[in-house]
Amino acid sequence: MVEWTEFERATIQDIFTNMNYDVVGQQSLARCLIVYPWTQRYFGKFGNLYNAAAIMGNPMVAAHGKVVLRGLEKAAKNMDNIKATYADLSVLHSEKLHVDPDNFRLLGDCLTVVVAAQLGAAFTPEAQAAFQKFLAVAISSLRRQYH
Amino acid sequence: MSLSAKDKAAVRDLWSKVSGKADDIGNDALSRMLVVYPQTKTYFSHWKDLSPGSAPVRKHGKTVMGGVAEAVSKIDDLTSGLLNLSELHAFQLRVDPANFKILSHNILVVLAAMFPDDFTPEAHVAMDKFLSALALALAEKYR
Repeated sequence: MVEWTEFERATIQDIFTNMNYDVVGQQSLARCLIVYPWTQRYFGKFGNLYNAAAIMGNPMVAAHGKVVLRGLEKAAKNMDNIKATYADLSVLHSEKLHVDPDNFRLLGDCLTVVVAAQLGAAFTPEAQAAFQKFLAVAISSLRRQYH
Repeated sequence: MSLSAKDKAAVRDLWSKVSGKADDIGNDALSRMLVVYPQTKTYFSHWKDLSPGSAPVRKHGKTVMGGVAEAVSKIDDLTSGLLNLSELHAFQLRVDPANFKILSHNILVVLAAMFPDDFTPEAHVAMDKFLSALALALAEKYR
Protein backbone atom coordinates (compact mmCIF):
# COMPACT_ATOMS: atom_id res chain seq x y z
CA MET A 1 0.00 0.00 0.00
CA VAL A 2 1.38 3.40 -0.89
CA GLU A 3 1.60 5.83 2.01
CA TRP A 4 0.62 9.38 1.14
CA THR A 5 1.18 12.36 3.42
CA GLU A 6 -1.51 15.02 3.77
CA PHE A 7 0.71 17.39 1.84
CA GLU A 8 1.07 14.90 -1.02
CA ARG A 9 -2.67 14.26 -1.22
CA ALA A 10 -3.47 17.97 -1.15
CA THR A 11 -0.82 18.75 -3.77
CA ILE A 12 -2.08 16.10 -6.20
CA GLN A 13 -5.72 17.15 -5.77
CA ASP A 14 -4.73 20.78 -6.20
CA ILE A 15 -2.80 20.12 -9.42
CA PHE A 16 -5.55 18.04 -11.03
CA THR A 17 -8.43 20.24 -9.90
CA ASN A 18 -6.82 23.31 -11.45
CA MET A 19 -5.47 21.62 -14.54
CA ASN A 20 -6.49 22.72 -18.01
CA TYR A 21 -6.84 19.25 -19.53
CA ASP A 22 -6.98 20.53 -23.11
CA VAL A 23 -3.73 22.47 -22.86
CA VAL A 24 -1.72 20.16 -20.61
CA GLY A 25 -2.85 17.01 -22.42
CA GLN A 26 -1.95 18.33 -25.84
CA GLN A 27 1.34 19.84 -24.73
CA SER A 28 2.55 16.77 -22.81
CA LEU A 29 1.87 14.25 -25.56
CA ALA A 30 3.18 16.62 -28.25
CA ARG A 31 6.39 17.20 -26.30
CA CYS A 32 6.82 13.47 -25.80
CA LEU A 33 6.54 12.87 -29.57
CA ILE A 34 8.93 15.74 -30.30
CA VAL A 35 11.55 15.21 -27.58
CA TYR A 36 11.51 11.40 -27.82
CA PRO A 37 10.61 10.81 -31.47
CA TRP A 38 10.76 7.03 -31.23
CA THR A 39 7.53 7.20 -29.24
CA GLN A 40 5.84 8.07 -32.53
CA ARG A 41 5.93 4.36 -33.31
CA TYR A 42 2.66 3.95 -31.43
CA PHE A 43 0.82 6.61 -33.40
CA GLY A 44 1.07 5.46 -37.01
CA LYS A 45 -2.60 6.31 -37.55
CA PHE A 46 -2.28 9.91 -36.35
CA GLY A 47 -1.41 11.40 -39.73
CA ASN A 48 1.18 14.16 -39.99
CA LEU A 49 3.84 13.89 -37.27
CA TYR A 50 6.59 15.00 -39.62
CA ASN A 51 7.97 17.89 -37.58
CA ALA A 52 7.41 19.79 -34.34
CA ALA A 53 4.96 22.25 -35.91
CA ALA A 54 2.89 19.41 -37.39
CA ILE A 55 2.83 17.56 -34.07
CA MET A 56 1.84 20.67 -32.13
CA GLY A 57 -1.03 21.35 -34.55
CA ASN A 58 -2.20 17.75 -34.90
CA PRO A 59 -5.79 17.40 -33.60
CA MET A 60 -5.46 13.65 -32.95
CA VAL A 61 -2.46 14.31 -30.70
CA ALA A 62 -4.45 16.95 -28.82
CA ALA A 63 -7.41 14.62 -28.39
CA HIS A 64 -5.30 11.71 -27.25
CA GLY A 65 -3.30 13.84 -24.83
CA LYS A 66 -6.57 14.60 -23.10
CA VAL A 67 -7.46 10.88 -22.96
CA VAL A 68 -4.16 10.15 -21.22
CA LEU A 69 -4.68 12.95 -18.70
CA ARG A 70 -8.20 11.75 -17.89
CA GLY A 71 -6.62 8.39 -17.21
CA LEU A 72 -4.23 10.00 -14.73
CA GLU A 73 -7.14 11.88 -13.17
CA LYS A 74 -8.68 8.50 -12.40
CA ALA A 75 -5.60 7.59 -10.40
CA ALA A 76 -5.67 10.99 -8.67
CA LYS A 77 -9.26 10.29 -7.60
CA ASN A 78 -8.32 6.83 -6.26
CA MET A 79 -4.96 7.45 -4.67
CA ASP A 80 -5.39 4.65 -2.14
CA ASN A 81 -6.10 2.07 -4.79
CA ILE A 82 -4.27 2.99 -7.98
CA LYS A 83 -3.16 -0.59 -8.55
CA ALA A 84 -6.70 -1.93 -8.80
CA THR A 85 -7.94 1.17 -10.63
CA TYR A 86 -5.36 0.59 -13.36
CA ALA A 87 -5.68 -3.20 -13.70
CA ASP A 88 -7.65 -3.05 -16.95
CA LEU A 89 -5.59 -0.17 -18.35
CA SER A 90 -2.46 -2.18 -17.68
CA VAL A 91 -3.76 -5.15 -19.62
CA LEU A 92 -4.79 -2.80 -22.42
CA HIS A 93 -1.33 -1.23 -22.72
CA SER A 94 0.40 -4.59 -22.59
CA GLU A 95 -1.83 -6.94 -24.56
CA LYS A 96 -3.52 -4.66 -27.02
CA LEU A 97 -1.35 -1.56 -27.49
CA HIS A 98 2.00 -3.31 -26.94
CA VAL A 99 3.60 -0.21 -25.45
CA ASP A 100 7.13 -0.57 -24.10
CA PRO A 101 6.60 0.49 -20.48
CA ASP A 102 9.80 2.57 -20.51
CA ASN A 103 7.78 5.04 -22.54
CA PHE A 104 5.54 5.77 -19.57
CA ARG A 105 8.47 7.41 -17.81
CA LEU A 106 9.23 9.54 -20.87
CA LEU A 107 5.67 10.82 -21.07
CA GLY A 108 5.69 11.36 -17.31
CA ASP A 109 8.81 13.53 -17.58
CA CYS A 110 7.22 15.62 -20.33
CA LEU A 111 4.09 16.04 -18.22
CA THR A 112 6.24 17.24 -15.30
CA VAL A 113 7.91 19.81 -17.57
CA VAL A 114 4.53 21.06 -18.86
CA VAL A 115 3.05 21.32 -15.35
CA ALA A 116 6.18 23.24 -14.29
CA ALA A 117 5.66 25.66 -17.19
CA GLN A 118 2.01 26.12 -16.17
CA LEU A 119 2.63 26.65 -12.46
CA GLY A 120 6.01 28.40 -12.45
CA ALA A 121 7.36 29.06 -8.98
CA ALA A 122 4.20 27.58 -7.44
CA PHE A 123 5.58 24.21 -8.55
CA THR A 124 7.90 24.09 -5.57
CA PRO A 125 10.51 21.35 -5.08
CA GLU A 126 8.15 19.73 -2.56
CA ALA A 127 5.22 19.86 -4.99
CA GLN A 128 7.45 18.40 -7.69
CA ALA A 129 8.41 15.55 -5.35
CA ALA A 130 4.75 14.78 -4.65
CA PHE A 131 3.83 14.94 -8.32
CA GLN A 132 6.72 12.71 -9.41
CA LYS A 133 5.91 10.21 -6.65
CA PHE A 134 2.31 10.11 -7.90
CA LEU A 135 3.49 9.54 -11.48
CA ALA A 136 5.86 6.78 -10.32
CA VAL A 137 3.00 4.98 -8.60
CA ALA A 138 0.73 5.38 -11.63
CA ILE A 139 3.47 4.08 -13.92
CA SER A 140 4.24 1.15 -11.63
CA SER A 141 0.55 0.19 -11.61
CA LEU A 142 0.42 0.46 -15.38
CA ARG A 143 3.38 -1.94 -15.61
CA ARG A 144 1.87 -4.54 -13.33
CA GLN A 145 0.02 -6.67 -15.83
CA TYR A 146 2.93 -6.96 -18.25
CA HIS A 147 4.35 -10.45 -18.52
CA MET B 1 22.05 10.88 -31.08
CA SER B 2 24.71 13.51 -31.78
CA LEU B 3 24.00 17.22 -31.90
CA SER B 4 23.01 18.56 -35.30
CA ALA B 5 23.75 22.12 -36.40
CA LYS B 6 20.09 22.90 -35.67
CA ASP B 7 20.43 21.51 -32.12
CA LYS B 8 23.54 23.58 -31.43
CA ALA B 9 21.88 26.73 -32.73
CA ALA B 10 18.82 26.07 -30.55
CA VAL B 11 20.99 25.50 -27.47
CA ARG B 12 23.03 28.68 -28.07
CA ASP B 13 19.81 30.61 -28.67
CA LEU B 14 18.14 29.36 -25.48
CA TRP B 15 21.33 29.86 -23.48
CA SER B 16 21.58 33.50 -24.58
CA LYS B 17 18.08 34.02 -23.18
CA VAL B 18 18.56 32.23 -19.86
CA SER B 19 22.24 32.64 -18.97
CA GLY B 20 21.53 35.89 -17.13
CA LYS B 21 19.71 33.80 -14.52
CA ALA B 22 22.24 30.97 -14.47
CA ASP B 23 22.82 31.25 -10.72
CA ASP B 24 19.09 31.03 -9.96
CA ILE B 25 18.70 28.13 -12.36
CA GLY B 26 21.55 26.25 -10.71
CA ASN B 27 20.19 26.89 -7.22
CA ASP B 28 16.65 25.83 -8.17
CA ALA B 29 17.75 22.71 -10.10
CA LEU B 30 20.05 21.52 -7.33
CA SER B 31 17.43 22.24 -4.66
CA ARG B 32 14.87 20.23 -6.57
CA MET B 33 17.28 17.36 -7.11
CA LEU B 34 17.99 17.07 -3.39
CA VAL B 35 14.28 17.14 -2.49
CA VAL B 36 12.81 15.02 -5.30
CA TYR B 37 15.66 12.46 -5.40
CA PRO B 38 16.82 12.22 -1.79
CA GLN B 39 19.43 9.59 -2.63
CA THR B 40 21.48 12.39 -4.23
CA LYS B 41 21.99 13.90 -0.78
CA THR B 42 24.53 11.17 -0.11
CA TYR B 43 27.09 13.15 -2.10
CA PHE B 44 26.76 16.18 0.14
CA SER B 45 27.03 14.80 3.66
CA HIS B 46 29.78 17.37 4.26
CA TRP B 47 27.34 20.29 3.92
CA LYS B 48 25.73 21.84 6.97
CA ASP B 49 22.47 22.65 5.25
CA LEU B 50 20.89 20.72 2.39
CA SER B 51 17.59 22.58 2.32
CA PRO B 52 16.42 24.35 -0.86
CA GLY B 53 18.14 27.69 -1.35
CA SER B 54 20.66 27.23 1.47
CA ALA B 55 24.10 28.82 1.18
CA PRO B 56 26.01 25.66 0.16
CA VAL B 57 23.27 24.75 -2.34
CA ARG B 58 23.35 28.24 -3.87
CA LYS B 59 27.12 28.21 -4.13
CA HIS B 60 27.23 24.79 -5.69
CA GLY B 61 24.40 25.57 -8.12
CA LYS B 62 26.59 28.41 -9.38
CA THR B 63 29.52 26.06 -9.83
CA VAL B 64 27.44 23.54 -11.75
CA MET B 65 25.99 26.16 -14.09
CA GLY B 66 29.49 27.46 -14.70
CA GLY B 67 30.23 24.00 -16.05
CA VAL B 68 27.13 24.13 -18.24
CA ALA B 69 28.20 27.53 -19.59
CA GLU B 70 31.62 26.11 -20.40
CA ALA B 71 29.97 23.21 -22.18
CA VAL B 72 27.86 25.58 -24.29
CA SER B 73 31.02 27.39 -25.38
CA LYS B 74 32.63 24.06 -26.27
CA ILE B 75 29.55 22.53 -27.83
CA ASP B 76 31.41 21.58 -31.01
CA ASP B 77 33.64 19.14 -29.13
CA LEU B 78 32.33 18.35 -25.68
CA THR B 79 34.50 15.29 -25.12
CA SER B 80 37.84 17.06 -25.41
CA GLY B 81 36.47 20.35 -24.14
CA LEU B 82 35.34 18.83 -20.85
CA LEU B 83 38.30 16.53 -20.24
CA ASN B 84 39.33 18.26 -17.03
CA LEU B 85 35.81 18.16 -15.64
CA SER B 86 35.55 14.51 -16.62
CA GLU B 87 38.73 13.69 -14.75
CA LEU B 88 37.44 15.58 -11.72
CA HIS B 89 34.17 13.64 -11.67
CA ALA B 90 35.81 10.29 -12.47
CA PHE B 91 38.74 10.27 -10.08
CA GLN B 92 37.83 12.65 -7.29
CA LEU B 93 34.08 13.11 -7.05
CA ARG B 94 33.16 9.67 -8.35
CA VAL B 95 29.53 10.62 -8.86
CA ASP B 96 27.55 7.70 -10.28
CA PRO B 97 26.78 8.82 -13.86
CA ALA B 98 23.11 7.86 -13.40
CA ASN B 99 22.84 11.04 -11.37
CA PHE B 100 23.73 13.21 -14.37
CA LYS B 101 20.38 12.25 -15.88
CA ILE B 102 18.63 13.22 -12.66
CA LEU B 103 20.22 16.67 -12.51
CA SER B 104 19.57 17.18 -16.24
CA HIS B 105 15.87 16.46 -15.73
CA ASN B 106 15.69 19.03 -12.96
CA ILE B 107 17.47 21.64 -15.10
CA LEU B 108 14.80 21.10 -17.77
CA VAL B 109 12.00 21.44 -15.19
CA VAL B 110 13.50 24.72 -13.95
CA LEU B 111 13.87 26.08 -17.50
CA ALA B 112 10.20 25.27 -18.11
CA ALA B 113 9.12 26.93 -14.85
CA MET B 114 11.27 30.05 -15.30
CA PHE B 115 11.06 30.51 -19.07
CA PRO B 116 7.74 28.95 -20.19
CA ASP B 117 7.61 30.96 -23.43
CA ASP B 118 11.23 30.36 -24.47
CA PHE B 119 11.34 26.69 -23.49
CA THR B 120 9.44 25.57 -26.59
CA PRO B 121 9.27 21.89 -27.61
CA GLU B 122 12.11 22.56 -30.08
CA ALA B 123 14.25 24.14 -27.36
CA HIS B 124 13.33 21.25 -25.03
CA VAL B 125 14.54 18.50 -27.36
CA ALA B 126 17.75 20.37 -28.20
CA MET B 127 18.49 21.02 -24.53
CA ASP B 128 17.72 17.41 -23.57
CA LYS B 129 20.12 16.17 -26.26
CA PHE B 130 22.76 18.68 -25.20
CA LEU B 131 22.59 17.73 -21.52
CA SER B 132 22.79 14.04 -22.49
CA ALA B 133 25.87 14.75 -24.60
CA LEU B 134 27.32 16.77 -21.71
CA ALA B 135 26.74 13.85 -19.33
CA LEU B 136 28.41 11.49 -21.74
CA ALA B 137 31.46 13.76 -22.01
CA LEU B 138 31.57 14.00 -18.21
CA ALA B 139 31.56 10.21 -17.92
CA GLU B 140 34.32 9.84 -20.53
CA LYS B 141 37.15 9.21 -18.07
CA TYR B 142 35.26 6.93 -15.69
CA ARG B 143 36.62 3.65 -17.04
